[in-house]
Amino acid sequence: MGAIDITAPAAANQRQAPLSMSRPLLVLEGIEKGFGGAQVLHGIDLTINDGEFLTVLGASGSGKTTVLRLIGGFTEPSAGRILFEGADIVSVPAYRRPVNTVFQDYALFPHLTVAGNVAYGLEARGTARDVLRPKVAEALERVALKGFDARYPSQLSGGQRQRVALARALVLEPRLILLDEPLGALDAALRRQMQVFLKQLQREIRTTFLLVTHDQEEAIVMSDRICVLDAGRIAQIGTPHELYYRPASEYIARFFGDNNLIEGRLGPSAAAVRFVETAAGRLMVSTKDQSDVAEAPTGTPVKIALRPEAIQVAPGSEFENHLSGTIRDVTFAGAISQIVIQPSGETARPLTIKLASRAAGLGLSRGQPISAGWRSADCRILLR
Amino acid sequence: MTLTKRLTISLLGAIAVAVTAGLHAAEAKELRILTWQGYADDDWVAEFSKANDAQVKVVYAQTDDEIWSKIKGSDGADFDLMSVNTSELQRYVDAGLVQPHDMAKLPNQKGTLPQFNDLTKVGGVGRDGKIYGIPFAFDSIGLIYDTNKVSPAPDSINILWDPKYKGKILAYDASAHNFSYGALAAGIDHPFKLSADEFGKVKQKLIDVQKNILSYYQSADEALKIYQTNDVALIFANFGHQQLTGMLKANAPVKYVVPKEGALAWLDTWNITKGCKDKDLAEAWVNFVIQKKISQALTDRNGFGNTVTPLTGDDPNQKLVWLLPVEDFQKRSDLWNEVKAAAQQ
Amino acid sequence: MQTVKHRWKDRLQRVLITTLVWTPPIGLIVLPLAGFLAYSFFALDNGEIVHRFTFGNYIRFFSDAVFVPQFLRTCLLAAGVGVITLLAAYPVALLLWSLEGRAKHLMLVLFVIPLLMSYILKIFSIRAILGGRGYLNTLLMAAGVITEPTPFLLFNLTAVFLTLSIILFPFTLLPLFVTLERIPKALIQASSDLGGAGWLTFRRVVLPLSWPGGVIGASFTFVLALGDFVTPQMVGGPTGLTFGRIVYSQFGLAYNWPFGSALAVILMAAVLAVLALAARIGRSQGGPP
Repeated sequence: MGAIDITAPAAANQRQAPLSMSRPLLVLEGIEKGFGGAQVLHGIDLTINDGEFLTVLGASGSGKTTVLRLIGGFTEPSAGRILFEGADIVSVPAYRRPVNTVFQDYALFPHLTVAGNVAYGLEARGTARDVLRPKVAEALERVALKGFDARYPSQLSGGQRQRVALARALVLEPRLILLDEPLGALDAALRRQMQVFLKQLQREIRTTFLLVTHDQEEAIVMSDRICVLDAGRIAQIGTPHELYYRPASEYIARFFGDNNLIEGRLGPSAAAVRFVETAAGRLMVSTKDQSDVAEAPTGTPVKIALRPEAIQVAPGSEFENHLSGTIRDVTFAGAISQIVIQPSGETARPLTIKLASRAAGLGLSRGQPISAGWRSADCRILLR
Repeated sequence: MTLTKRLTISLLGAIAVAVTAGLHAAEAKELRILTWQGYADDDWVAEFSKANDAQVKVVYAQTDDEIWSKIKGSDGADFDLMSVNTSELQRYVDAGLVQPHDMAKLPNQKGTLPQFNDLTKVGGVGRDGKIYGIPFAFDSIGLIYDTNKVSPAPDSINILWDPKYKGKILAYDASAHNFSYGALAAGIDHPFKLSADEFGKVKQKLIDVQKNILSYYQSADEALKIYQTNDVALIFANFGHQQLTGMLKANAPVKYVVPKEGALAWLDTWNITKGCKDKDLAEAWVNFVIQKKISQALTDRNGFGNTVTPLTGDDPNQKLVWLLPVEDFQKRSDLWNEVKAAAQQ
Repeated sequence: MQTVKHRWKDRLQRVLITTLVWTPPIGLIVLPLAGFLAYSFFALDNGEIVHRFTFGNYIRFFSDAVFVPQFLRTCLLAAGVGVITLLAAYPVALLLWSLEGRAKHLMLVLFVIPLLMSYILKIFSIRAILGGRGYLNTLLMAAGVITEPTPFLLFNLTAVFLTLSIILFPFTLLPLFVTLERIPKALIQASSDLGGAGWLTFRRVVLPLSWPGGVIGASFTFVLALGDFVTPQMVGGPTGLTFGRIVYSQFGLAYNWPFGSALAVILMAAVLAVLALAARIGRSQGGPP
């Protein structure tokens, strides 16, 4: 993932903060799902709040698409309940559910025009022509496809098709829109553009979005909350900020970019911190909100997650952790530069640092000795 | 060299020459036959060869056209004897590819059935008082009827037009034969040479019979299958006694009849080719096979009628109309399509 | 020098491959058809083919009272067979389509196996079923529907229609099924997602996306029924005359090859017209031309 982007979301995140209305719209309760002997989902409990943008994030095979299909009504759970505003909808067929889906590859009807595709759901509902037309026009305008009514899907670009699929769902004013890897087929630039567009759209129409993706960057940029699935189980649910800065496990830490993972064993505790003995020396780590870490016995093997951009070169005394070493590699990557340092401890693993690039250069080169440091609050102990 | 020695040598030489000549003469007695499977069986050939001290070479033909091309191609020189039916024989006579039989060499002909005895009265075997074909095997295209459904036994071809048997008749899909049959039914005694007027009359007659016909068939086996799963009373038996035998074997309660108007019949004859090398030997073969023993064996082995012993249950006075070439094959075929098209109206 | 030699070799190879690829279709299809076309302009005189150019055969076709009505009647029959097999193929194809895994393959094989059987054998079986003393009559009598066997099941034009429909059914079914299989399941889900219940999904999505396949299948069946001469002969009885049989009689019985060729050319023209139409419809699938 591009390092440029990971610095951005913090600001975006603060701006939107958890939406005030945390009224549950849809609740998955103890969902189990198996396909012919293979268990795909294990005891999924997930609440989607009204008005939020929730992303289900996972690698392929994690079961994320199955979650979406269960909600959309295209498959049934082996066990568990799906509550929509308190009512179980497991036995409600797809065409009666108050949710609409934007399919992966869009699933546009090739034999219908853009307008025909968008009008499809309204027609299925028996909407009168004079009501239908302005609604279709409005939906197309909302996705910036005014004037494309008479085109066929085969005459559109990927991005345009994607927006038709979106308009087709929007026009029905559903309570919940499910998006199945909606941006997967687009090129990087367009994808970034669409991410912003979708997020804005979601806020404008105040409709709940459930996005399924394998792309952590996409999840971070767009979501109010992210639910990470790992092999059919929920690994962590939280805001992008939480997942980024407070990963609950090594899996999450690895999933969200290039965390440095430093192996060590738990040492003594102090007020809201714990020491960890590592090959690079004793390091101090905050245990805020981590009672389990504070209470874990000394000597327990752990890993420290440390974000590359949290490490400072030539640190001042306000940084509780210091180490010295030599520069192994310097990579200029535009806005930031990436430096790999080899700590002086015998068995210590290399650390990656990300620094904002400067026109004059950072004055660092290979083989040069260097000292680095970070705050105890910027790193985190992972028990699993 | 002594005289005795010379004499001895001369004598030996003379003997050698004589022996060689003798052997050569024996070798030259050879008969080349082009005929159908079943007309020159191995045991007959063996017996004939021994009795006549001759070599017999038999070639079996598959189709009429094959015989024509072999005989025409060699101008009759490749074979001494052949067998074709009366209808086919006409073009050989026209082309001068056959020569007349010498009746004096065929004493066994006197022992044949009355209907074959006087060959001048058998249609298609002679021309201008000369006999070109000696009848050997035949079969008729009569009627097969179900004895449970048709009673008393039919005697006229016109039973096919009887509304009582609507949808209970099987017919054969062949334009030429059907027009000949229609002609016989209409009382025309020259069914192979129809005038325009007669064509009109026969065509109407054939259109009329369509509504009585359940189906057409193409093989004897197919006719039997249809008979077994449908209500069939009468069958126009294109395959004659062979077809009857097949049905009787399947335990069908059927009988065979040659209607009084006559039945079309094919008649295979023996013919001496233009290029025959040993005419006496050829005639000897013909005389040999029209003896009672061989002719009876022909019937026993193949089911065809022979010219010496009557078929079991056959009326000796039955009227058989030997097949001859039709006047206009094209016209019959076209009219036959019109008949069938008319049946759909 | 080497490269020149190489290029020359390449070119030879290309020519050889092109020749190999084109020889079978030209030798086995185009030339015989061209032969038919040529023969159709010859005449027959006294049973001998006269190699002299004439429109006589075509004039005869259009002026004779038998051929044009027969041709139209047969077209109508074949079209009927196409339509009825299409109507019957839809439910079957949808059933096959809705099945999964082994059941689907088994059912598909079941419907396709008749294609591997001898044509004649199939007709014989149908005859055994429809005959006056056949299974169907026996069954109907046992069920008390009829008191006497009805002979009207077999040996008429209806029997030809029925038999052709049964025998040619797989030809309509297969292209339809293949087209259905090509419809992405996501489209069905999309329709359902947008509120389309089963019937609406069928009418608005499945039908418009699959009917080109159905039309192609039905036109295959039409073409096969149009030229067939065995079925009418075997189950048509005295009224089972079709255009195919008339063509057959020119070749097999009358030895009038020139006229038979003219009839075959006319039949071919009708077939090509129908196939071209079907191809047009097939291409229209998925939006604008």
